[in-house]
Amino acid sequence: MYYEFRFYAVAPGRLSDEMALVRNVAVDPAPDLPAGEEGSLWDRYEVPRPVGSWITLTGRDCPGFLYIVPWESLDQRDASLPRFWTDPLWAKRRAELTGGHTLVNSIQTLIFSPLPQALALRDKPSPLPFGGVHELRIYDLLTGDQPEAQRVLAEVDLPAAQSLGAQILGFFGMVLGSDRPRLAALLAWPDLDTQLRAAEALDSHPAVTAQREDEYARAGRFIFDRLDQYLLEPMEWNSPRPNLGARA
Amino acid sequence: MTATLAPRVTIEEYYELRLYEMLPGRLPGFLPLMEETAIPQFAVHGIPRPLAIWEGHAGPMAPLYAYLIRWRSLDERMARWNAFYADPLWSERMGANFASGPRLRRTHVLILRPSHTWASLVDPAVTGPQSGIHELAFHNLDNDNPARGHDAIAQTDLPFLQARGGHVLGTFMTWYGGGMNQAITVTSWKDAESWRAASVALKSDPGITRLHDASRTRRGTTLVQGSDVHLLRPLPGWEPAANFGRV
Repeated sequence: MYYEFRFYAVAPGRLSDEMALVRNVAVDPAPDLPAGEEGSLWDRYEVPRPVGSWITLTGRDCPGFLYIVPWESLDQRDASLPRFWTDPLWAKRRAELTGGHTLVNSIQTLIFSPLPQALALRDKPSPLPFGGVHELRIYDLLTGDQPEAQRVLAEVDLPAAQSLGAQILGFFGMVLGSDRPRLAALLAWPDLDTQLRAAEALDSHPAVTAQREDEYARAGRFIFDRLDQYLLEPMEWNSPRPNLGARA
Repeated sequence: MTATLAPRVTIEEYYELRLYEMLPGRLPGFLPLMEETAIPQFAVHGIPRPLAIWEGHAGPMAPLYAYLIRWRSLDERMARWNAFYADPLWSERMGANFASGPRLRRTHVLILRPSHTWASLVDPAVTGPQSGIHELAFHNLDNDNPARGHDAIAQTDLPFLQARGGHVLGTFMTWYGGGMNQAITVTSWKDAESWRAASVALKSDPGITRLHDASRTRRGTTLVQGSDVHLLRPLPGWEPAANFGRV
């Protein structure tokens, strides 16, 4: 199982255009379908429905737009997505909306895999999507530290976040992308206020503090280097479900 | 015949923005060092009292400790910080505080100057210390038209946010240390939810989009090219005055 994180640095002022474009293509019925039939342009090329779509509230390169596409196979991905890019309806729709100007300044395409430890962090399956405010945390670490860092996040830092009100949507390792090794956690909070209070409390949480002290005592350094963090607003037309819809 | 010279430049105001990117879990133990030693030592060595001190747990440098100091002269600034660092009390207390391990991952020390747009955004109706939630945003500008970028932010985005409960504490330009050309805005909000709602509305408001579209289609490119956004909470007792005291 792979999750393709598609992270768009949208040209400022053009977020509405970008969201309209992605929503029309990935979610809404294709414009050339006979009335009553369903299926988006993405469905036509067997591109799976993204497991969530978000805009960034804080972080680098705002306004940002993130969506995550689940794939069982990258060969399947490469048989599907590039065909979609050359679809005539898509090209036409995109040309109309961009008006020949830049719509997106840059795109990061990252492949993450769910980590085995994610199973222990799962929530009860539910057909209801998560609203609230979501948070993407990307942890940088040193090469060689990945197994221990996975354990520490899964057993200490993420349970501490859960105790402060977070639901863990996913816990991933970066497979394709820059600055590996990197781990990522996607959290859902009931609202921004809870996230802000919890993120602060997390930094002084007794279990987290004791873990950091233990790391320093053993290795003379801490296991995590930089934390890159984005607060995300889930789009109500494609809010993620618990565990990103993964089956139990 | 004499050459025509550019006019003299007199700069009377600088703002030093210090951003400390903390190691995860290491900020709480750092606060007493700042409160009990650094800030009293600022007074001893002539470093002005910070206009605000913040903690940030939502943004690209989190966990973040940040503060802002106003200066009239950068030579004076250099002399005062040198005196501060040369004081053995500081090294001693810092050494003791860091005995359990490092606390800061990186620091970013930026010198800012007020943006030409600030005066038009000062709101004399807002007074007193500003608590709540603050947004610190670094906006990358089209390098060939930075002044227009400042204007676009000040005339389009910030009034929209002001109408939704945001108070503009200040607007700045980068001068030393940051990416040139950036506009920096600091806004305060009574609570997190009003900031979130206004921030989402700004990104999707048809009127705002029309204004940005008009400018973009005229010029072929956008004046603002992307922003790094941090959410901050002022530390108790260190909330900045409205308009950063500039009335």
